[in-house]
Amino acid sequence: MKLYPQKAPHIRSDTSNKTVMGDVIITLAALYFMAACYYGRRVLELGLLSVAVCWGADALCVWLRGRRVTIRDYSPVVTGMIIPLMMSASIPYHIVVVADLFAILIAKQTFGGLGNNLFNPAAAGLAFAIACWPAQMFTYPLPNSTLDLWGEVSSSITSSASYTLYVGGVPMADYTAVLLGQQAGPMGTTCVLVICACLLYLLFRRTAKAQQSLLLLLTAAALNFLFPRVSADGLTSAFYEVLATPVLFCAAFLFTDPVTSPSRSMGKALYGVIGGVVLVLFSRLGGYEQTMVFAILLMNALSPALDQLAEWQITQKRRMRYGRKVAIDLSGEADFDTDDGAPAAEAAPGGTAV
Amino acid sequence: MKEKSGIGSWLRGGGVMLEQHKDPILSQEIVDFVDPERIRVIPGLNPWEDISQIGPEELIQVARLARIVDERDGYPLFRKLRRCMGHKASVYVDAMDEEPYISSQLGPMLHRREECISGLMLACKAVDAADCAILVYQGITDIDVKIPRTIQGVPVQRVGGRYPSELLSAQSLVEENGHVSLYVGSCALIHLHRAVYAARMHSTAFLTVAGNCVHSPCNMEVNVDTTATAVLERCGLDETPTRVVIGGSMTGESVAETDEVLVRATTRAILAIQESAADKKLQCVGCGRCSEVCPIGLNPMYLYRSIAMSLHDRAKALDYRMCIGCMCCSYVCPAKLDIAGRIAWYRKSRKEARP
Repeated sequence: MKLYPQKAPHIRSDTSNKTVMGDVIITLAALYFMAACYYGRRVLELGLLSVAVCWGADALCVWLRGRRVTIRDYSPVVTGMIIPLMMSASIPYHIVVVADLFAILIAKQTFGGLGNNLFNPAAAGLAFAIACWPAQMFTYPLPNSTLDLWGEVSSSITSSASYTLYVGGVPMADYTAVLLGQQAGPMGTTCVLVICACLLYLLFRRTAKAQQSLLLLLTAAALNFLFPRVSADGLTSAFYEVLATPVLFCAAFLFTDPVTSPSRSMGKALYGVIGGVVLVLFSRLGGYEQTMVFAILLMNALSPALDQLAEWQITQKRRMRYGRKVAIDLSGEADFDTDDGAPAAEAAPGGTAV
Repeated sequence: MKEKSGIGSWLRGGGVMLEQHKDPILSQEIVDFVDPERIRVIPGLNPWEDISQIGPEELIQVARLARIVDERDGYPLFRKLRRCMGHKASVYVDAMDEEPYISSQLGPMLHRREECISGLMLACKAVDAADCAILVYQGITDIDVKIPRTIQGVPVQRVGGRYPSELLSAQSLVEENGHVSLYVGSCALIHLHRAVYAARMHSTAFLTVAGNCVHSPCNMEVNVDTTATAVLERCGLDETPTRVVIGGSMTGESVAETDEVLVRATTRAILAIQESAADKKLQCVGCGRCSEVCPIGLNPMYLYRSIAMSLHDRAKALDYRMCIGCMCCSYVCPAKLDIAGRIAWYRKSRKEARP
């Protein structure tokens, strides 16, 4: 029987890049559904436009680089879905398009595309949009108001809980309203319970790592509990700072991006803790009401250093551990003659058991 | 191939939990595919009837004359025993078979237990062993056959739990804190028993024949030098396989021509597999799964990139030489990259380049 020899392993895990990205897309789709319930069809139009622009820009760059454009790469779809969810439902379409193009063309493809980008593309695109159009980015329609599909949105516009916290106040929305998403804010970041379910799903599927997202949330909550920036008790401060702002959404979707975060567990843990500290510092010292994306970009830059630190520590541990056992050499002694005169271990296929 | 996942897997480091697929093969008797005319006997040696008359040196000499090769590592059994003499070693029977589908050590240990334990006693006598035990893989849960806690008074230890426990203890003779441990394959012990009591040479092998193309998967005893084609024909093929693997599904070697592949004393499995579609390589996204599962604690992703960019100092600093070739990194890689293959190739090429 003639066959084409293939490399080991001869079985592979079911998980692929497609399933990893697919998990994220499923959870983001759930958030789009919730956002559509609160703000109507405009949300879906924004999402579709964003995905189309991101995918088109990504495909163009891949084609210009002389590589084959493939629909199996879902990463631009994820970027395209995340960007509008971090924006107001009343955001003009052109801002979404510019943020998408910045994310793909500048933050992703300039560095060599998928797997090579230093900064999270969605975070970079959002940071660019915040710097260029802060007024539009930080004004939000009230939930349960149907928005016009095209043109200027005419429904009532208000500020978010992030702004209230930024100016030193305590948000009006009670705990239940915050958990159910009945408050103004970026359209995909207010449904706390749904985001929690999405995060749990991603953690269980091992698409997101607990060390990163949970440690980020715990650190941010602990610091806000100990040092509240509003005139309220620590628990209230921690609740609103973590759940009434886009911190939870970012911890689930932006902060866990595998490309821009450390690969080692210890690096991820440090990344989460330091990320929480940086986030709190940015929220106190930053010039915008939402500084999470800037904290993420700074942490992306620190990620290689954290990985190096973790690598050094694990290398020391590994050399200590495997230096203790001494294998007694079994080769070199005169042994029984095989038919061709070679030692038996060499006469056996490959010299070792297969 | 489904990998067991969940919260528990976060808490343990290194290795992967593989579904074993050992049943129904393990529950069935071992198929006899031995041509009696091709069984060789040790010339000029009469079988012992009274074991008390045989001394350690004579036992080792019998193992040498019978040309017993340990299927665990490919080394002659007599050499392992001789190196162990005078150390008061612990002798462990390797019946782990941790790779999916394979039970060519565990099966003979369970179904030929008298011969195996007798061989173990002979080995213990040869090295004047302090104690002995049988090692089986902890991760085997999906089997009907019951693995007892002791077999004829020898304790059965369940070790590992996550692949690759067996490869991690790949050295067959290990000294740790002044204590020597000797690991011997269960089939080699069966052959030692046969050499002593029947003056038989090591001329048969126990192997598992499995895969989604095989009509009657089984554990089989077969003459050495039988072709892979003959073995597959004996078990029957439902479909034409796309790959035939000699060895385990994780570390085995895919062959080009089954007529030219002969069963050796160390061959443990022949797998005939038909895949639905070839895995396409994608771009590494740096998910870190490969470093999570590496049992040694290497960072295969960094090694892969360092090798691709010919950063030799970096690859050395990342301890590429410590890779044991367990293939865990390639198995879990969601981009389907040949990470372990690249590291093995680099290791080989650097070794050849050294003066």
